[in-house]
Amino acid sequence: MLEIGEQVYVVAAFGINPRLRPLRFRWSGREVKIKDITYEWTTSMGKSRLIHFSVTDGSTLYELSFDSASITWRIENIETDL
Amino acid sequence: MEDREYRDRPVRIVMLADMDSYFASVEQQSNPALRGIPVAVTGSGKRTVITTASYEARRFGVKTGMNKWEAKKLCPGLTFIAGSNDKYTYTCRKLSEIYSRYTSDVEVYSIDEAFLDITSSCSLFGSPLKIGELIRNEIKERFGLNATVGIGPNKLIAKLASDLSKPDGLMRVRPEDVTNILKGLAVEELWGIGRKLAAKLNSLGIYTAGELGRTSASFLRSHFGIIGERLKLMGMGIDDSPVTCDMRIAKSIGHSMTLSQDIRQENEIRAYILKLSEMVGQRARKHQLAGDVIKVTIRYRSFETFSRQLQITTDTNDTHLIYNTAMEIIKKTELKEPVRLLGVGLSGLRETDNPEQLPLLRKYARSRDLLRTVDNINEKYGDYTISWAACRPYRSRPSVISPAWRPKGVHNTRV
Repeated sequence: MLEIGEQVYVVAAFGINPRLRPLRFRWSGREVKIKDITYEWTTSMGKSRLIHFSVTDGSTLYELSFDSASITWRIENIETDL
Repeated sequence: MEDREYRDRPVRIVMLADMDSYFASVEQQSNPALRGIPVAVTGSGKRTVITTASYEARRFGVKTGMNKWEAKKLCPGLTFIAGSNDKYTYTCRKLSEIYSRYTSDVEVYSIDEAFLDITSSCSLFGSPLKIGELIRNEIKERFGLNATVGIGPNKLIAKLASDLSKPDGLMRVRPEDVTNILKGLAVEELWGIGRKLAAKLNSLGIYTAGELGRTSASFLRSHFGIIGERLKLMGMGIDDSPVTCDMRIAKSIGHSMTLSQDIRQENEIRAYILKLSEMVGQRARKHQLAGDVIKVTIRYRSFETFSRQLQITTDTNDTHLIYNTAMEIIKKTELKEPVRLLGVGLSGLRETDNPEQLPLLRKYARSRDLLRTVDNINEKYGDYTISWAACRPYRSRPSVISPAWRPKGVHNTRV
């Protein structure tokens, strides 16, 4: 697992169930299309609530997080041994 | 007479939902590349052990508590994953929400086990087995995880039913089947009877639960003291303990740390004790609790472990008073070996006055205001945003979830 910790541009859908679903993101100059959200969980950092997603494009596993206070997305880490 | 005792008890239907190979299954669900292969989840520290092994790894003999090298010897293809406690605690909270939809009597017994009293739920949701199946399906659909569900007339038998049907099982033991199931069951298979106790029972010629249930209470009392009676009841499959979401005041608050390397210098110990005192004090203040007994736990390199405690004259949750008392204990203790683990605890807990009584002396008022400000900052921006400078090298969080962790109340700690 390689730690990244960078902000990323994410296209996401806000719905009812699930309420939030990342669809694709731009990172390192390329667009990554999300094939599957494999797990989802939340954490809190003080008053901020972070929603974490394990997502895969079919070959790489990424962890994205959405900060509901600052309305920003980050790529937290990647796993290339899929 | 024994049968009559059983019949005279109120009929209850108790369920245990037990997540199969919980941490490893969450990781396998999260990362598709880990599915179907042997996986062991460990803490993130250097001197960590295996906290959970996947069923694929268990087939090779890999078990909880093993060192990494021991496990690798048994299973060369084993993949180690540093546990992600946030995922496990979040999932546990969500599982509790699922259980609470079927009954209000939910006791989260550990991070991966919960007892449910479904006696009154059957008229709404169907038979106990139907409820078990609904819960299992909901967990599978929502998280992709397998849960084993055991159902019985009490917690002891529900736990047994779960153990007998693991993994991915569903089993109900009806009251009329209890005696038959226990008849040939080895005593160590009963929940609460460990290896040492089983060995002592065996030495008295008691090998099965059935034999335990038929042994006289006076005989058991003469060998085991006050638990003799309880052992007999266990052998008969009787357990009156309620399913409770007991949120009464905790008896104690404690934190411990396995150090990254063994230490024996007082200045190194001091920094860890301050860090632990801060964790204890902060948690006590958050839950408006204070105690008057401070305990220090020390584990040597040889794993010899002991605790010393000191009672003070006033209830406190002040980090510095906890720290000063803990250091007083350390100074009185002659360390025979380098220290591997340190722990600080606060007990004799009582709820603090609300509204809080104002301190008479100015220096106590200043200390209280300082702690309150630090707590407010940390509550707004996250734990340990502001902390004592001496703790800086020891900011890392504990790497393994305490068995006492619960989704609510004073045992809900940051992990």
